[in-house]
Amino acid sequence: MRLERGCVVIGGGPAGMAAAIALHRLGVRDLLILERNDRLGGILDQCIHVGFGLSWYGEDLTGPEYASRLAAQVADLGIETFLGTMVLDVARPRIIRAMSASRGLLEIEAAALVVATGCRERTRENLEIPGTRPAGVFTAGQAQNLVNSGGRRLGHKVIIQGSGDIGLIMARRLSIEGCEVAAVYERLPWLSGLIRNKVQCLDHFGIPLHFRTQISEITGRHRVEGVWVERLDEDLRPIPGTARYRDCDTVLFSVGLIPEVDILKGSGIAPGKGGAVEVNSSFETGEEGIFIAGNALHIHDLADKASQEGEAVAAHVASFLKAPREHRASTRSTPPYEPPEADRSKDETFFETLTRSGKVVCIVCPRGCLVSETEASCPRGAAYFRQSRLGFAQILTTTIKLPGAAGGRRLPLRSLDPVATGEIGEARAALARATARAEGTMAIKLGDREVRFRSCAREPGPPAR
Amino acid sequence: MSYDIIIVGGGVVGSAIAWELAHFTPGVLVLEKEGDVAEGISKANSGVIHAGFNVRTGSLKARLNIEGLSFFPRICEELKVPFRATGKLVVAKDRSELPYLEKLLDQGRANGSPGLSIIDGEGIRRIEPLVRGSYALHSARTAVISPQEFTIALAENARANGVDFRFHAEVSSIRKVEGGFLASTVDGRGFLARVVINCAGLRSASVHSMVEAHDRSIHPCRGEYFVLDRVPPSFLKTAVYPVPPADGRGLGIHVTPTTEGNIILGPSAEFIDDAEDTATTKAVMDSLKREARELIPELSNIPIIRSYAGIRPKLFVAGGGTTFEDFVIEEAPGSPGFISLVGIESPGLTSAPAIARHVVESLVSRRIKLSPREGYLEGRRVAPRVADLEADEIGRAYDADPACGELVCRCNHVSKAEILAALDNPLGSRSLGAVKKRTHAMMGRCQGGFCLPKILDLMIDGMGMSPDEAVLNAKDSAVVVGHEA
Repeated sequence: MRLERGCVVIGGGPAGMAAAIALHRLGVRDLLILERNDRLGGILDQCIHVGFGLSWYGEDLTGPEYASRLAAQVADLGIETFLGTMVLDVARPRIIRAMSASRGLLEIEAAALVVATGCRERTRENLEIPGTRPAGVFTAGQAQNLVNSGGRRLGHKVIIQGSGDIGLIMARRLSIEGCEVAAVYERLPWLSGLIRNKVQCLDHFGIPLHFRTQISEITGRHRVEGVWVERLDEDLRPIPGTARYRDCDTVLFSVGLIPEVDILKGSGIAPGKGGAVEVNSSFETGEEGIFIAGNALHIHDLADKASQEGEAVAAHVASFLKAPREHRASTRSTPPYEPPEADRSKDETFFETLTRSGKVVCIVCPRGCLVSETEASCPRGAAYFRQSRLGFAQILTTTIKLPGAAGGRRLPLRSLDPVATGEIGEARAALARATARAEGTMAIKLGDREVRFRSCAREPGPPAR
Repeated sequence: MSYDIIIVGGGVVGSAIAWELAHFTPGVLVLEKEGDVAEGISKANSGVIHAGFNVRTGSLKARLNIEGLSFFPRICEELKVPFRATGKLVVAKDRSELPYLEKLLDQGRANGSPGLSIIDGEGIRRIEPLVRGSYALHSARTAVISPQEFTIALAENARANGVDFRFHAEVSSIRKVEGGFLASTVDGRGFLARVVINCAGLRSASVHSMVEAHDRSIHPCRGEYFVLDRVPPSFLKTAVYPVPPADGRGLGIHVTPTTEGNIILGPSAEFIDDAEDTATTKAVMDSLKREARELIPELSNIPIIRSYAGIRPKLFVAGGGTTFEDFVIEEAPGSPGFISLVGIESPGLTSAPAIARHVVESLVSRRIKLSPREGYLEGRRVAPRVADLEADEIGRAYDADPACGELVCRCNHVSKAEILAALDNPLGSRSLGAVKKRTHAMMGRCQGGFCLPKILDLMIDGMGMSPDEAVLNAKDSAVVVGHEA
């Protein structure tokens, strides 16, 4: 099938949907979203934890809730969406070849193109970690998909390499599901993910984090049996004699994300070191009319920021579509876009000082402020400090079986009130006894109080067309 | 259970013999200790189809290599196995290494190896602009295949023609009985046959010892590899080998394009104690990178997506020379009907079809009357490979089966139709590894990060397999240990 469209957005995740919504608002109506999954949302669906939407919607949402809201806007605006459609490649000039189960091979000529294809995970193999190649080695996001979307149990004793956000989130998720998460190792001397995630995902669960430490070998013929772990010196070289064996049956790698822009190779757009494509300050690549947004451009620590970027890109795309020549003239000499620098401040010294300071890291929002009796940057932070004196508690997110759901599909669920770490086992047992409903809230008894949970089921989504 | 012929081992040699025998009437059983064919030596090697200049003139290796080479294009076409005519360059750094190339050229010509010439640095660059070097032996006929797909294709055609395959069936003893042999497997089953063919690869010497004493032993020699991400064909078309380092230092590894468009670096060579120890090591990995980049500096720009190791079955004969041992292909002197193949290492893959022909025509036929099978089914049914199709072919494939339009593996563009066909393979081998070897899903740059969960869904939710059965390859290699309650 051959088609022509004014603007095609490749990828219906947080960046792509936000870009499409913004383009529509800016008057671009000849608009098409191509999404490889069977519904919009991208990676958000497997991110059942909270922390989404604080800046975009002013609410603390789970990934599926955040996706539902964006998808509902896309549907309300009537933006054309092809689901189950995977782009194979993009040839010059902006000719997209895509495959779809409902349409077959598509060739779409686009006047402008927003590439919002997200990223993939760096693997154990990219790090060249020697040893065997048994079952039980996962990337953190892959594990997240298996557990949250598939309802699978990965193993019993887990070791995690890398302090990226997904690894931290999965340390908590697997602890909630009853696995023993023995340790998280980080090669670098600083935390890679958000400090809030270290606190609520590791500290609350008593999971140790070791800096300048790496898995040096994986053992186990058929299933992982253990790993060798070594310490690194100031220059990140292994320190001889420090290798220690740690038994485990599951290893997760959360060691970085790589923008996924391989479909652009045919357009002559090649990523540089680290996998990122260079764009100018209007997010346009060297190929006219091809723009990049979200994690396909650089890795964002929050989905909200990917959406904000999608929205920002949309403005440039709209101006390009309106007047390509003027747009070109105005952007020719603009400097290349510089992605934000990674935060390296949360290092060993920071955590040592923090322990002595009596301050705590507020986990109410992703900012991760330090709060104390006398210092807090907002009232919620002050309230958090008082609550934290009583013990660790946070919003519990998990999944439960939905009666009648196909296969291992489960319903994502969040508590509306904080649940203490020590209550999680009880909460899980109570949830397993409760009857799940796809919509609305449900309540369970924890001790003498009632804790309410809200279903985070995705809306059915726009019908596939 | 009783058969005419039992083949011990479902590697490329066992599968090629099974395929050859499938053209005839006798009843054949293949006993394989793993859960699929191509799980041992045939799973992890370079996949190079050699032109036959590297083996000693007059040896069985030389004869079967040259003969096997000539069979490949036809078999690959019949069984729909990708065959990439890459050619090969053996590269000399400088003039001092030229005599080595001349020796190879002479030996190749004496062996009847086709398509050889010596070229200079300019000639090298005309073929491969990125390769460093002053002289090279160019072999036009060298090619590459996927050794796993080739083995699977042979076995699947054999199965379609009535050959039985039994997996997880490690042979623990072979006893001579009235009229033949009784082969017992570790799970306590027994199988009778008039002829037993030992194709046990790394265990070939010990399987031979089950029947009679001999003076040969197999020493496992590990070879480690790196797999690089896919590159455009213009980056590297040819298998590139260095002249082996004369001082014995360095590995002398080669750089080889694969049928999928990846590049492999390797192999190293290291004698190890445990024939199943396919772990990779830091020291070798570092050397692989260094040596490959000496040959082609631009390789450092291509991401590494995987490492693996294979094991060679190095043959030692008591009192014999250790540098060269020929293939042993014989009927055991004191045990008529026990045909033994020991030490089938490189060029074993290239030789396999010729070995099979030789074993069947010269050895099996002495013991069993071979009449052509009526209604022999040629070829092999494979799902259309979306990644290899032209636009109009994709259209036709999609019209025939919309599952061709549903891409499961995003790196290698493998469709759901291909995954389902692989899970429904004629050998009944159902594992992630079986899917991987048949489709190349999970073998791309994300290494299954995105598609492994989807393939597990197809196995567990779609086909009703239990999580325990959804293994990577071996029985105790389940990827998930169950469901959440």
